[in-house]
Amino acid sequence: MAMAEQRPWAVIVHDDDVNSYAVTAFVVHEVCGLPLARGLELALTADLAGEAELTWCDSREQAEELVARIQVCGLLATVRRGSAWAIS
Amino acid sequence: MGDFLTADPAGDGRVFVEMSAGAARCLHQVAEDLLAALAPDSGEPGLADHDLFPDAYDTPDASEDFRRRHGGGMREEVTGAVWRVATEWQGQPAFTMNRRAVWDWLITYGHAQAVFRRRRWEPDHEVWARMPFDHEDVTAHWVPYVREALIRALTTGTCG
Repeated sequence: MAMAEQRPWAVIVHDDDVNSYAVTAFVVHEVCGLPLARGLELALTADLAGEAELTWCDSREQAEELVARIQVCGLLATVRRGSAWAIS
Repeated sequence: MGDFLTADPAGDGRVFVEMSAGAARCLHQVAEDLLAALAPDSGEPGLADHDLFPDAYDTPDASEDFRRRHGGGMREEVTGAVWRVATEWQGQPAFTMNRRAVWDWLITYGHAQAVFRRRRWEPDHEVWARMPFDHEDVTAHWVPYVREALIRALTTGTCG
């Protein structure tokens, strides 16, 4: 199969009244392995838009594992099933 | 002199923190209170997983399933961090913490508000109506500041 519809699982971080830009950016940086500057961009997006997509995962288990680690750090993170298409 | 807390990079991921005696007492008490709420004596109500962790999905059933799969491990991780903060730190106002201790503090004070504000991630529209702020409101504003100070120290290079 040259192309298959995949429905990746998105990891979302949401704006809240508890975590600052710095905290959100640092947790994203440490847990997701993204550069700190990218973490700051995502924190700003979450603040302005209410949420930001951190990453997409191939499996629900991977997405849940990330969300669990982020929630342990006190952030409001969720799993969302997406509808993106990917070449397999 | 008012309460204060400063955090400065100490090299190799370590952070030197210095705070007023009042801030130290308050933060240590918060850690002890959170630990007691996480691991209450038998018969006493403690913090449930849904008080600690927000819904991971947009439906209640999926969120509960998530808590069944991950809640135990997440709770264990949080409880371990809080236990180390509450027991390894005796409440002294100045000390250097290693990187693991910094993470323990970030986790502990990321959940500290749960002691007096369940589902703390939901907007608190009444906060200004409660002025002048009571001790819990002041603490609720203090703990995010602590985390911010630690992260700034971790992500700032030393001067020398």
